[in-house]
Formats: sequence, structure tokens, C-alpha cells
Amino acid sequence: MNKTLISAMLLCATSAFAHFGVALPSNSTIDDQSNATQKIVYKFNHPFENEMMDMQKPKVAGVFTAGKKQNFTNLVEKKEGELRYHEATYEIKEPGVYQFFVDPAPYFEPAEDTFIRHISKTVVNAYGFGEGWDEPIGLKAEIVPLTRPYGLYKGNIFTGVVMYKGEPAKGVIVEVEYYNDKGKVKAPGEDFITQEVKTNERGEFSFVMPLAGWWGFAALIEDDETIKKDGKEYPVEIGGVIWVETKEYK
Amino acid sequence: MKFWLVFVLFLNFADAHVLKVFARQDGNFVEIKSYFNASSPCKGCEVSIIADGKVIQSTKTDDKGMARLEIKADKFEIFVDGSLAHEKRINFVADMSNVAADEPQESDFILKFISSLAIIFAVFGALYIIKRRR
Repeated sequence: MNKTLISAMLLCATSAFAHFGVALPSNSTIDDQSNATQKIVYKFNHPFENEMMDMQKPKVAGVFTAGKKQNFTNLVEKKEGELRYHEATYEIKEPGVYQFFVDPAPYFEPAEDTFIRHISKTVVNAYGFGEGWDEPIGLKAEIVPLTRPYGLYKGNIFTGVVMYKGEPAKGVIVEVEYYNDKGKVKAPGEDFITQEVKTNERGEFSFVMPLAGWWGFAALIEDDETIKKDGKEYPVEIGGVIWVETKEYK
Repeated sequence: MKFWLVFVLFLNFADAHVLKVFARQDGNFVEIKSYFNASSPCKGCEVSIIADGKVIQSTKTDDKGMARLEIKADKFEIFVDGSLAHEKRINFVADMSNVAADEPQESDFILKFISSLAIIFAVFGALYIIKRRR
């Protein structure tokens, strides 16, 4: 087998896995002031396979709390090998529900001839505040949770509504992956890596999370805008992504 | 039957409403916020500050579930009693470098007394010298 063939096979194998925008905080709940400083990690990867793609500096990353958005200016570029990812730190000073979000620079995927823009978010509850987790931030594509997106156990069901330009989006595929960052679990076959559910007439979907850890839900929509590259217009896959943490009983 | 309905309702209420207490330091004061959730503050709830096993201060929360007390010890417990089996106790460690000594120390008093006497002697001494020159 020559090198070109092997490279092509690897490329196809890699592209079979789902892409996910990642926005992960240190913890989805804060009870203690010693854990009040959150480190939010922004990546673009295949979460189950733990394979990273290069991520340019995001267009916007910030936090939404008490009805207001605040954009971060303290993003720090990090590297794993040659691949870039980003981090921000944010000190939570008040009880509240904090929605951390990121809108990345679109990523060109040559294997699919498309740009990928996964707008990702995650929700942190600080000091048992407990209200505001179901408020939309107002992102172009967004999953608004119907299940409280923190304080969840392994085996809980997660239900959300996919919103696109402020309206529920019906018939949208939502890809679901477990963040297998330690590589501890193995899938019995490729079809098991990325789970899929579809939104109903009201844009709703549900999924039971069978493992403790972080779960990514990516609602994939063909955007109404295209991006021009090298004189050619390319479609944009816009993703509304939410990351949800489950834990075991102690 | 009615009793059991009320009893079950009460149990549900007690389960769903977990009392939370958040405290932070503001200079010489500790600000205490007590609530069941964002829109349900613990109103008029008893707040006790306990240091070395003794209650050293007490107050009640206002309509927003807030209370503010002067810091009297570097480490203490904040105990909030929301009644109906709703209680919460948290530990608090004050940053004493941010707490200004507001009670005058004995050494401060002696220093002020000596300074005042010195100023009086200096003024009268100056007047005496001016008078003698004339």
C-alpha cells in the first residue's frame, strides 16, 4: 500500500468522526469559593476519539449571566503539538447561573468542502442560584436546555430545544458524543461513537447519557450564509453546541 | 386524609427548598446572602455568627435575604435559620489584612495623650519665649 492511499484512508477515517466545538469549564457547579475561578477551555475536536483540530483565535468568547453578555479579553492561546486551542479564566464572585459561550472562526474542512462554525456553550451554577439556565443567550444557533444542564447524574435524560436565528428548528440532526478525554472507554464499532437524535416539530430532542463525564450535543444546520475562499463560495455548517456534565453518586 | 396531604405537601416543600448561604468580605464587614433560589430570598431569617463555639453576633436578614455584620473574628461560622427545618451553616475565614482596626487600642490612647500634652507645651512655650523677648 502506498503512502498516498494510506493517507487518504486515514483522512476518510478521521472525517467519519463528528466535529465538535468544545467549551468546557472547570466544573458545572460551584459550592465553594475555593473553586470560584473557572478555567474555560475552547477546542475543536472529535471528543470521543480525543483527536484535536487546529483552532484559530475565536471571534468571540464570553459569559452570559443575569441577562447580560460579557466578552472575554483574556484568551490565552495554548498548543497540543502544533494544534492550537484556547483558554480563558473567569472569577465567579456572585451567586448566579453563568453561561460560557464561544463563537469560533469558521474552520475549513477540505474533506467536506465546507466551513464549520460550531457556536458552543456550557452552563455553570454558582452557589445554588438555580435560575436562568433556560435563558437563550441569543446565539445564531443555540441549544436551549429543557433539562437543568448541571447537577445531573449518569443515566439522566437531557432534553433541549434547537434554536436557529431565534426560532425552534425542526428536523435537525443533533449529534451526541461523550468526551472520552482519558481514552478509558472503547466503542464496539464506529456507529457507536457519534450518537444521533433528531428534533421534533417544536425543535426538541432528548438523549439519555449513560456515562459520567462531559457530553456534547451538536445541532447541525446548513447556515444561510456562505464563505468565499479562493474565489469559490463554500457552504457553512453552523452548529449549536452545548456541553453537559454528569456525575456518579458518591 | 387532609392531614396526610398537608404533611406530604410540607415534605415536598422541604425537599425542594434547600437553604443556601453565600458570604463575602467587604472591608470590615461580612455580607451574607441567604436564599432558597434566585427569586426566593430567605427573608427575616435569623443569622448567628459563631466563634469558638459561642454566638458573638446575631441579626436578621432583610427582605432581599441580605445581612451585613462587622467582622469581629478572623474565623467564624455563619449560621442561618430559615425555620421549618431550613438551616445552613458555613465556615468563613476573614482576610484580616483588609480589616481596619476600628476600636482604639490602649497604646493609641497613650500616644494621643502624650502628643496632645506635647502640643500644649509647645504652644505655651512659644508664647512664653515671644513674651520674654518683648
